[in-house]
Amino acid sequence: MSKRIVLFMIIALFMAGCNVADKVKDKYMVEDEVRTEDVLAEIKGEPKKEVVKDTTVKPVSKRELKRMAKKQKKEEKRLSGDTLNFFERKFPKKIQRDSIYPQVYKSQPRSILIIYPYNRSKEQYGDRMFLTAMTKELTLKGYYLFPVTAIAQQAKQDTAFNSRYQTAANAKSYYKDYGADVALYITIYSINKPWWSTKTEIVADYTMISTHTEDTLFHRQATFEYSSPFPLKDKSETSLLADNKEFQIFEAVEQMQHYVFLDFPYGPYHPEYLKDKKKFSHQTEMNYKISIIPE
Amino acid sequence: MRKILILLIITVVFAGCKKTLYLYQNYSELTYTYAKGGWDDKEVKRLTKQYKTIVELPKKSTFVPPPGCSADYACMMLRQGDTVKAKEYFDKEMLLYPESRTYVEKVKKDLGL
Repeated sequence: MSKRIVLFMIIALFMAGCNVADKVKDKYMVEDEVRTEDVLAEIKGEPKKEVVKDTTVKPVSKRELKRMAKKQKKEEKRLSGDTLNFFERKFPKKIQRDSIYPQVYKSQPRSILIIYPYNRSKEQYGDRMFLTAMTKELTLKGYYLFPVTAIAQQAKQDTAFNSRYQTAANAKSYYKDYGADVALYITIYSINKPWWSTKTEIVADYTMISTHTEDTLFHRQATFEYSSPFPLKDKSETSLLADNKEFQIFEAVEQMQHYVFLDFPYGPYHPEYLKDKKKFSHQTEMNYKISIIPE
Repeated sequence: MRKILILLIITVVFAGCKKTLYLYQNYSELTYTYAKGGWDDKEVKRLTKQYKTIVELPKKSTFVPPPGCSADYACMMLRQGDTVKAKEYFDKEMLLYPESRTYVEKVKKDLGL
């Protein structure tokens, strides 16, 4: 028992001593600068300078100094209008759909014809992947999309039926031939899926032209990054796709269409048709990068 | 308290039930695979059989086939030489989606259906 008390006392004394030593040091130790001046004065034989201590100014600790600097930085940021830091820089400002797509709401298109995509990527079947995925996405938005196999067949028979050769000037003919209200042109710049990475990067350009007025209703150039969860999901046994790589690219292409047309106004077959004017929208023309890590 | 709890649970359940517009099943894979081409007659028959589940929904179902699917199925039927069924599905597409009228009528005229 006594041993414990002695041990405790030793520790308490040691701690108190440390504190006392610090206090003594702070009180009596002469500052480096002052000490140097004293030594110099002694060598030169000059009288020592009297140090006048300002008793009204409290010495500030390093921790406090750091805190003050941080506070000042924060205040400066707040005054410059940067309040949300990271988030505000990363995402575009909130814009309402009716201000970005006024012509879509005005012309109220019902059907969209996808002009066969111009595939500049190394992925052989990238164009067909886009065609299928876009058709599904836009039909879910409530529009009428022309049959995929018919478009693919048309492109096979007539090589000119491609976004590479077709221009906005041809748009009017699609109303006459197909009854389409809008022609959608796509250029696929790249589809990259390195074997060592879980990331798929796709770059594509979308333009929607009205077949009645030849106005541009929608334009997007998107760089899309899709990070698949690790380990990579393999295709199911019943899947019709050729291999795992094709399956992973196809998944990324489908996700991309979803995000590109996320803010596009709903079509006549959707229950939200013309009710989404005040919903979120990106800008009409923009370059953006989306990184998605699905759960 | 109990009533509020039950009401809350029901609200949460209904909020989670978002009705989709169409039943796609494996539409994307099927259409993409068919669009890739290079299939023999046996393979086309197999794909057509799978596609039928998207176009011919159960009678009790409140859904309609997605846009363009009936016309796609008609094209598949045409490839197999079944012109009667092809015409039937082209007509179905026109009936469900009047926007397709110009296109379907043109195709039917070109094919002599």
